[in-house]
Amino acid sequence: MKKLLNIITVIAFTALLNSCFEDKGNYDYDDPEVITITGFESSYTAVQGVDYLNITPTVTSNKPGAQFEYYYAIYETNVQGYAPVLDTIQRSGKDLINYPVTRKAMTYGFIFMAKNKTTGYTGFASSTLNVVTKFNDGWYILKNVGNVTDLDLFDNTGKLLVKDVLLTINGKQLKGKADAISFASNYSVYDPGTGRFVNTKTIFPVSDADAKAVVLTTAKIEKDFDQMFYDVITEPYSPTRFFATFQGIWTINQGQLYSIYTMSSNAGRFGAASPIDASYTPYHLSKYTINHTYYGPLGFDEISSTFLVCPYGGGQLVATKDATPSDMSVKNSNTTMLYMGSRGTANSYAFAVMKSKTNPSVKFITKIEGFTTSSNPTLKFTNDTLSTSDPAYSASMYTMNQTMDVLYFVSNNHIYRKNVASKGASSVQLPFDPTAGESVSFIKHYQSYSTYLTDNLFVVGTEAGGKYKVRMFVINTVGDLASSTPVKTFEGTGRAGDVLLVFPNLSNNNFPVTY
Amino acid sequence: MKKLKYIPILAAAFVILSCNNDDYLTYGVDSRIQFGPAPKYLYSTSYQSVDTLKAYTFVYENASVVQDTVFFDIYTMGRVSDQDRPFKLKQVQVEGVDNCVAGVHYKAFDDPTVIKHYVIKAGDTHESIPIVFLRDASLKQKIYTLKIEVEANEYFGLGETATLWRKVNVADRLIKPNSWTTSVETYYLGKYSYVKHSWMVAQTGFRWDDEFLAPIVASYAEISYWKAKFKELLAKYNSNPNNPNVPLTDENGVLVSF
Repeated sequence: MKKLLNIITVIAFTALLNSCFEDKGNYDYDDPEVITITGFESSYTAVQGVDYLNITPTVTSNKPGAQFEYYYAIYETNVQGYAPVLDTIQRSGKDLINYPVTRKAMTYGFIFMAKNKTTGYTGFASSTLNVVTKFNDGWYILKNVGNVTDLDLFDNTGKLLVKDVLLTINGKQLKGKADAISFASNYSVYDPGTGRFVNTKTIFPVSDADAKAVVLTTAKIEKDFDQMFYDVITEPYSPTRFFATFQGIWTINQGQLYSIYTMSSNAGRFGAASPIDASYTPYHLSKYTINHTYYGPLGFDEISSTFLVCPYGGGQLVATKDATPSDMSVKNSNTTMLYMGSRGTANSYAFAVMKSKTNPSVKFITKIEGFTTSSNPTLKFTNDTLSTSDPAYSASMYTMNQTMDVLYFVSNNHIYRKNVASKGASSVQLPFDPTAGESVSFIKHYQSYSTYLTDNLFVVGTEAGGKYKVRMFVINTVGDLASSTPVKTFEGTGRAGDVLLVFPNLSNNNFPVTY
Repeated sequence: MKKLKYIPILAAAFVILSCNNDDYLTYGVDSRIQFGPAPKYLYSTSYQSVDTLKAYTFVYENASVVQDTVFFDIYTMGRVSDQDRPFKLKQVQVEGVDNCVAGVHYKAFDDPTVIKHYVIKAGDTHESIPIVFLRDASLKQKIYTLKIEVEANEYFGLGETATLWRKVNVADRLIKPNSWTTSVETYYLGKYSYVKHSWMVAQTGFRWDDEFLAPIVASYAEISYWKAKFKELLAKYNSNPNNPNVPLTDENGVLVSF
């Protein structure tokens, strides 16, 4: 033992000698230099090909005799699968004067650097540069004229900017009747300039027979519906709203779930349809899903009446579990889903309207809790049976308020609200009623967001005589209309099916993805 | 005197600590030759060994095709010359496999129809060199291996040791693509078998050879799609009792899975 210790000691001592190195010293006990930059804003927005940047920052140092050299640089922020490159756009002077904004329309990180040549220290100021076009700032109305669907683009005042955007830019439109329009900030689009697929803000207009991926800043169709899949997709198409989180993008076609895992490099194509089990038992998902920021969306199989979680990046649909107590089982509940809607991006519960298959005269509203707790959550249902005399019983369309427990619905072309925070609340007709001859084509709630939307809005689309009107009303604290007079009205040709607010900083989680 | 026994230990410790990396060959005046990846990958460290082993099969070709060519990239080191510079290749026998036979499975490197291609052109540093394989009947029964090495001659010395050779597995039957790597086996397509490979070709109508598989493997999204697709196709195949070999079982008696 002693011999072994001696050997170890000798080896350790030898290694110790060899591990010594000369300390060359690099110490500086002076106060750190502070470089102060003012006049470089936290955000800049410029219209591509139209605007020029003019920036005149002020730079000071607490060290005497500072002599600066300056750099302006930008880099992409929304990247996946590669490292962004810092691109110097000026290094000749302090002021950036009449710099033409011709970059690809997207949001960039924007940096101003001032290096004190005397000390070698550099001060940084960071900002964002939003390069916008007329296509990524305004309101899109998804509408159909007959059996053809397109988009109209309005500004925030209700002025029509571009009629039939898809036809105008691409020369083609969607087949079928307008259903929904969605947004994803992380859809992968090939950029011939860099030879890479890059995360691109994309909108997905969806009809009852078609869908397309449209680059938001250019309104160019990136992919037709069948081009979005690795699978061979055959007509008739039956797509639903696309739904995106930072980890994935999903859609449902003919009741089958398809997904793209967006946390790795991809080509903007959906993988194989997710099976419901290892035996590939037939299923048909409802178009109603509930998105969640971290876990997969919650869906409902209409064949087995079962709640399931949509997996990321393909794979089998994930079973959910029963809470105790609960008014309904997560599986084989023998029910039909009439509606399921989000209660806001951050809320841990949602609501659905169900009909019994056992006794089709029974309809009920159910509060769904627990889907935000794990990837295979335990769900609790609290049911509230609807009276046959309640207008909600005979409703033809529904939507949820995103900021309070209020369900809106349309019954006999009248619009109602119903407080669903507790059981048995009465339905109350809204003070706005479509004028004679107008029929309601969709309803939607828009929660306020930042400076882009300062009020919670209730949106009503109506059609009369081949013309649509989309009215937006401010909502008061109980979920009713603050006034029967709309604050915005968009008008055009056809029947409106949905509306989407877009702005340069729009991201996946600004608004819930829901019907 | 007893302490003298610690001297060897001390010396050994110094020997260990004095180890350092061998110097790489540098681009000096000596002309050397070695294999490398395709030119577009030449300066990408992760692609340096990508073409070391290739697989080729005649199985997808018409019966009228009696020979076909596999290409490798070869590069020079040292100064560029203003005259053509021939280089030499030789076959190296590999233990434990069936080695190709010159004139039977491939055209010998001194065959007059191919030797003219084994030249670095004047002013050049790279050549894509052909290895011509012959469709011998024996390739239907077995997979044969051809390992080649560059040889020093009056024009070139040898380059880096690790890049002096290339290997080709050749057959006239389905052959495991090189892109079906251990990683692909572990995470996506499962263990390779002849039955599985044949079934994949029959189910999809695609050639699941290197040319087809390599770009799929390079895309996480696409290889993940095919994994899911094959699971679906296999479940449907096995659910039909009228299909042959149900449940699908490979030549080793193992149930096929993905």
